[in-house]
Amino acid sequence: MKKNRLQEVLFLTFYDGMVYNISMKYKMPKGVCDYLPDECYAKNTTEEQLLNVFRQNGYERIETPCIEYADVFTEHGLFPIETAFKMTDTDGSLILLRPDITMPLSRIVSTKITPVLPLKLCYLGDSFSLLAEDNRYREFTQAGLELIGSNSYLADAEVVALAIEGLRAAGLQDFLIELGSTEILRGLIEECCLDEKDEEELIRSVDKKNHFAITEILNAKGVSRALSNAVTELLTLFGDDALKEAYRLVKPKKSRIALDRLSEVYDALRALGYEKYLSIDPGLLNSMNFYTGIVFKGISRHFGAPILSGGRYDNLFTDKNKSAIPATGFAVGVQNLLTALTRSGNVAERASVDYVIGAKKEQAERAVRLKDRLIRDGFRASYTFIEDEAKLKEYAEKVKAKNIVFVGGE
Amino acid sequence: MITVALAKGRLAEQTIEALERCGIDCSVLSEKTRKLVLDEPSGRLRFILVKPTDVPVYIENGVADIGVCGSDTLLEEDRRLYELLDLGFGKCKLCIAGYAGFRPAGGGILRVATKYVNITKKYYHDLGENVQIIKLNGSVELGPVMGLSDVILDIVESGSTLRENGLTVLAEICPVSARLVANKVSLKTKAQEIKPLVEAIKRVL
Repeated sequence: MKKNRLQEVLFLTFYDGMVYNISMKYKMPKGVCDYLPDECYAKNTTEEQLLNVFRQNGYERIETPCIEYADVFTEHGLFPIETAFKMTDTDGSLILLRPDITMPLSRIVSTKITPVLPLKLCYLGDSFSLLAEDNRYREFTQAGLELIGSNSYLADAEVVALAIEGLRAAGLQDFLIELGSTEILRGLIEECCLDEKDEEELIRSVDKKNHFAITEILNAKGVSRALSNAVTELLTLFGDDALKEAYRLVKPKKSRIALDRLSEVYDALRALGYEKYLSIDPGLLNSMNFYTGIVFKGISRHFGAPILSGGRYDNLFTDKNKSAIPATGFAVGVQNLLTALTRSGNVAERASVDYVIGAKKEQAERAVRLKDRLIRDGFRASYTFIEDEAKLKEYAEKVKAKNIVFVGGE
Repeated sequence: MITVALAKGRLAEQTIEALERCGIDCSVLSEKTRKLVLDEPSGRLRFILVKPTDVPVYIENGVADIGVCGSDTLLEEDRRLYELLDLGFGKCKLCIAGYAGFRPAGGGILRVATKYVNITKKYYHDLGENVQIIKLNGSVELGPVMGLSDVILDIVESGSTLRENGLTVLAEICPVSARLVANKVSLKTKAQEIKPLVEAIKRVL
């Protein structure tokens, strides 16, 4: 059977101001997008600003392939491969489009480098998710860093500080870093002695700050009222007095140690003047099977989901002898950051070209030399191959060029 | 200003009552108007009236900061948001209903008609049963009555629709009630506005 051609015609105003009609022959998969010059410029600028902060602080950039064998992600049991794009290799092995970049870095550290600690790495690249929820990117750019080989609170503080510096460098003004620790809750959960399924359910409910569900689960398991209250009340704490209140609430040793660490990190950051960007949330969760300590998320009132997410994972990186190396890091969701920047009017604007140059055919060489001189002088200049002055003017208007040079007959 | 998403219908009425008990002027919501975005006179709150199943969508995306919707919708949608309060009204139950003593007509595979596809999937998956799910958007009770399905999974309030159509509750899944939900970012970035409101609502429940 012959397929019906789509008949719709779409009129698009292209970046150069020209109106094109495009028959809708090509569809794009859900959750991916093109970056036309304006958006591409904004995106690249933001990426550069982030990378620059990372580089200046001694983090070396590293690149890993987009495709990896599934083991890289499944070995630790951390990534549900149902949500990853899959392919098979020529020998039948399962290949994934990388759902994340931290795990490939862990592969590299455990096999390819004898790390001089602390090892500081940063990256910029696309990761992929098969989930086709509305408003979610299936190809998303992450700019992130890993600080490998230190379990000091100062390492935690450095990573949070760089998250703040990164967002500041990108031009985001009003944002907050929510700061918590997975171990506060883990200490409480251990006291509750739940089976795996209830534990999962509890974590899900904590993530939604769903008090009634938590109380229900804990009551059904005969957990003491004091303990159950500690869990639910922990979730209502955030902001200025959160730390003090949390100390009053939680008794398990593991949770207290986590609170001590959270205070140390907070104090270190406060001493550096970052207080106004910080919001303590002892009930903050980030993937519980990934993180093992301080966790944080960057949020802005201009975007409904976190812009940045990170924390400490001490079980993820190992050396060649399989002994664990403590690590901490974060990744910025570049698209989310761009949305927040755009909404708050802080996005980098692409400047149009400074000069467009046209010339009669016999003057082409002069025109090209002129272009090269302008570029040496620090301008952006484009030789257009247009041989007619009127046409060059028309072109210049459309591409919003600042200056026109037509190299004429003599 | 915080934006409040309300589920159109009964739930909105009960929410308005609760808000009024907190001393919030909700008169804009009772005016006959086709406007979709309504500002409270003090300028502190902005209301939007949306389809019940859309409340979690608006909240997750941060277009609305807080909202009220049924826990059935939250269970079905499973969105990333905070569930802050059980408001205690809008009570009903999620149930499996059908003719008492029915026999599956689909060659042994149970056919379930429902608005709640995800809940149905999970419920039967946990029971280890393979079922055929038929998605309907309303009057789900017609499923067994017209032979489209063997049973339905739906909310049951008084049970009178079921009774009048000769159907009975075969299994109860969970209770349902109205919940106050919040966007995960707004709760922090607009804490000074949201926290007092949540406290006020808590007091009048």
